[in-house]
Amino acid sequence: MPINLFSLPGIISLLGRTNQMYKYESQSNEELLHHLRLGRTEVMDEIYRRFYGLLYSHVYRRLPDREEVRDIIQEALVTLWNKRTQLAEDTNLSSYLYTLVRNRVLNTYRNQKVREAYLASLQTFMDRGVSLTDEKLREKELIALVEKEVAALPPQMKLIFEMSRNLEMSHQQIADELHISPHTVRTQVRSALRILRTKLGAHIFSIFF
Amino acid sequence: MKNAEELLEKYNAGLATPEEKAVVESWYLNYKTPPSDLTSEDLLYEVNIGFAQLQRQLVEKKTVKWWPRVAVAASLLLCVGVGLVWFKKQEAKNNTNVAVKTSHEILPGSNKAMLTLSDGRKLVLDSAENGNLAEQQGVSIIKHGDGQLTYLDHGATGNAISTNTLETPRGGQYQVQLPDGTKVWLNSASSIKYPSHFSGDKRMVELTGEAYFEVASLNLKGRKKMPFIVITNTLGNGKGQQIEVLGTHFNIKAYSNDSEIATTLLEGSVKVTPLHQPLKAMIIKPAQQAITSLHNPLMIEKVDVEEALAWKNGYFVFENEDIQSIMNVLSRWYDVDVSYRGEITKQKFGGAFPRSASINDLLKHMESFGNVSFKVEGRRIIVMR
Repeated sequence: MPINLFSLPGIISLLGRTNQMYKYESQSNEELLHHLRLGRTEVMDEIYRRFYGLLYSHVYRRLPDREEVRDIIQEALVTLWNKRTQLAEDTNLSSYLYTLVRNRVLNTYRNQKVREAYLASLQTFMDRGVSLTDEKLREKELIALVEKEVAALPPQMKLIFEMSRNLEMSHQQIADELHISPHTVRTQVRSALRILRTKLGAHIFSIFF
Repeated sequence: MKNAEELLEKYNAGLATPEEKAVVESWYLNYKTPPSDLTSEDLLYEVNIGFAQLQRQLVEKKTVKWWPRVAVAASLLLCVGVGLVWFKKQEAKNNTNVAVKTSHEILPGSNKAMLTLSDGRKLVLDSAENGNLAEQQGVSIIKHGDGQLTYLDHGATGNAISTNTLETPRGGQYQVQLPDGTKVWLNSASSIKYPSHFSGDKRMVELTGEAYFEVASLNLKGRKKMPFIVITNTLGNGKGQQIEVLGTHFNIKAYSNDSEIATTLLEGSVKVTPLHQPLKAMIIKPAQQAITSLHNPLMIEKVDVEEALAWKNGYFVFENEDIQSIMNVLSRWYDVDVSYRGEITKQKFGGAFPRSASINDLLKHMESFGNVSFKVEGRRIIVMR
């Protein structure tokens, strides 16, 4: 059954502002974090578009209870917003969000749908006595783990997510290599996005970018 | 299995050592998940409804933060629902004298509570250090964070019931996680009585005052769920109500000087039984409120859950309420006594305030908009026309 994304609330910004929709679409996670720390509310729209689908599939595989998954991600995003002023400048946005979500998943282990599986698996893991990695490494692995699961996303979403990451890289590279202002880079990326949007159809982009 | 469970409990309570944290987090990375049965349509659907949901939540948070700019009133109206009136402005110009004078500073409430153990020991929680407070038959009671208590069950056995009571004074609030994982937020001047370990075929607690519950679902042997029962005997002469749930979120307001008990449901379903009319039990659904009183039949109405939960989220919301019911709420939160001089205004008030606001600001605000004035004498507030 086709879903018409265009009729959905993507047009209205999360905090009721309009015309800001595409402002953050071409920015890197670092830039998003910068604006988030300054309390720019519209940035939450972009964070939502960028992460929600990904987080949802990640959590759902560990806790197959749709309402519970919804609550977990909502809570994580609200926490991110509430803690915006306390975030360090070098916070890694993906890692921060994935950690918020992981802690909430672990907190729901009493849910009957997963309880036995979690406890049995953790017990086996403990009994095996594996060597443990340090926190920094675990953080990296967590990012890899979640983002690897992009494979489970529907094909169109997957494409978009990967493009967003690739664009983020080229954004960085262009700025470094061509010694041009970030503004120029942004304009270029934006026009690239516009082309892609025409190619892929506006519907998907109205929600995810 | 005990081991893994205990570790997860500690981890969740924020009490794991760095090594234990490493175990849980490394395991999480290695946990093999079943393949997803979520379709593209499901996911797109979730993305869409999630957006609207987040929108509502952020609007709510933002409103509270922006107080007291008047613009906020408008956006709060949106989230609290139509019909909320921002302090009905009447011709009250003759009331320009601001009679609020304080000699003793009145502060908003904070995290304060007293815990009574089964052996009669009383622990004052606001002054207790974080960490393990007591051990009771295989259950540790741990204070952590700011104003939180957690019961860690590491293998409680037997059916010996040891009853604990958590009690907040006026001007206090506290959070407790019961040994089954159920979370309870206790408002001021309230108390909750529970066993330190749930056994048998049901979980029973007793409440006076107001509390918000997030009940954890718990299975008995053989897939049957273990009911969670809250008894409130606040209607005088031991009369009250009982509610029974399996695992849901709800708020109960049952102060003994109120003539009714209000149960508001957020999720799942709740069976409400007036103890004096046990055959009139009803089941309520999310966003409904059941009102139990002695002289009227059990009444169910649709309500705005944001309003019922405002206290837990750190603000007061009044919707067309008379001055007495507003003063009752303020008296519990600011720990003040209230008396009335002369005729009591019939005017209804509405509005929203953060619970961290100073009571003086709040009273001044009401004076400037309503047909009422206040005098503060020590910890007593005198309400006049």
